[in-house]
Amino acid sequence: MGAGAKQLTGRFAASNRVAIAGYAQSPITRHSDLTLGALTMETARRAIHDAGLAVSQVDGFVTAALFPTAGAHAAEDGVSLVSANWLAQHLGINPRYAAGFQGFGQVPGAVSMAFNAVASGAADYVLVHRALHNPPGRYHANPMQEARGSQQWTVPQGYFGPLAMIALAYNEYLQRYGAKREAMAAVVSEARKNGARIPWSYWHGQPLSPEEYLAAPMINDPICRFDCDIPVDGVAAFVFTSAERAADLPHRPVYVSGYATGAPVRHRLPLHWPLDDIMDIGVETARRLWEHSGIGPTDVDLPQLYDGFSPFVYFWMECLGLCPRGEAHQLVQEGGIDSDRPGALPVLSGGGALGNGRMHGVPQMLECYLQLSGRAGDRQRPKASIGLACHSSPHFGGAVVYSSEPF
Amino acid sequence: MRQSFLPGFDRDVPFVLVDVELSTQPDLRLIGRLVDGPNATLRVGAPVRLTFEDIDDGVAIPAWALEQSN
Repeated sequence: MGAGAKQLTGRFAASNRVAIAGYAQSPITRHSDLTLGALTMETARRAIHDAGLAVSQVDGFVTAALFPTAGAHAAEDGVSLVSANWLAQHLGINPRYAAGFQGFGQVPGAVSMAFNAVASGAADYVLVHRALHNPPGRYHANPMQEARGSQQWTVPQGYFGPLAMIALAYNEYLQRYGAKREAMAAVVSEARKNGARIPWSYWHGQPLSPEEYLAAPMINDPICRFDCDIPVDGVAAFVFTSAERAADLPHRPVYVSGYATGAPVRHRLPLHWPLDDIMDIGVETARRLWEHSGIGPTDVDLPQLYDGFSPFVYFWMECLGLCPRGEAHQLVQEGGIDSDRPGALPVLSGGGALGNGRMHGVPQMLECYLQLSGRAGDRQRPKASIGLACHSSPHFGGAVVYSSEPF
Repeated sequence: MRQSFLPGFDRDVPFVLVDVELSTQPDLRLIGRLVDGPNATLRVGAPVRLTFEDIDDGVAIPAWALEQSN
């Protein structure tokens, strides 16, 4: 926040007036047998059917189509990404509303746009999808021979790609708070424990022990392979409609109570996210979220934190006020996020990105939907009434509050 | 850095990058190579001074060296 910037506050006027009515999740694989476009069409049709609707009833399409690679892979609609218009066209629909979210925190951003489209009457039934692709070759490899623009200040030094980005911030955290990598073993093994229980997960049936985590070699110290989610092919889709219409559909609605995305950030070099930026601005993201949704951190019984890189779990815990700043590493080491322990914060009960594969904020959103609608099957938790799904970094990304009841 | 996603760095790994705040302008940060190498003892807050690294004919980029006198 710049000096003198007005602090906008207030409850979201349309809170809980829009709900999720159905969903579908594709298998998450390293390389799908289907092209990404075909996998997205199949998943979209399943989601629409799950909501008790015909494809022809869907009049809105929203996604965040970003192909999140630092590499030189071609970004081709229908192949390595799937836009809202591509999907509508291939399902044979000329929609009233089609849009893509451009910022960070792609999944909360897309949810906020779908919500607004339904609440304003721009569309009645909005399909939100997220399609993610794992290209052949190294995911972030880039054969660039020249660095232009702001990259001229980082690339010649060898600073490039998101692993270097998160390694710097995580190293600051470790040193400032005296944290140990042994604590993060509890985070990663928790994600993999829960992911191992999920049939569609890439890591289904494959938990990871703390010892296996700690034995992995460093890539960019202090980040090892298991601190990073694995690139995959996968698609998820959700149907949004008004609370009134959702009441007439087959499944119990899950209401959207509020959202926040992208607080203003400091001007930095490319992919330069100092710890203080993440935390100071992330606290503002959280403040906006609580104001918008009309709840506070103690009301949330199903927090689902983003973990595309494991340190984000600490950063979100502290920015959201689930524990004091600098203490997340202690809490996780004491079993504080063990989803099988009564009274713990089940922040990775849905497996997250580390336990499912690089599905961006989908596992967090999906876990909120499944638990709050009572559709989690064997994994159903006894109490799940207010969920929170985060994505990306607290300072750049976003979060959505879900509720099983309007309030 | 033990791996690089960019061409030309394979012969350099492992190398150390540092995030440096300029004492003359707090909040302005630059990222560069630490010329002391991967075995140097490092901590957050350690003072460094600017140097330059020749990476090609006629091309030098800013780098950092640990300030020993402090």
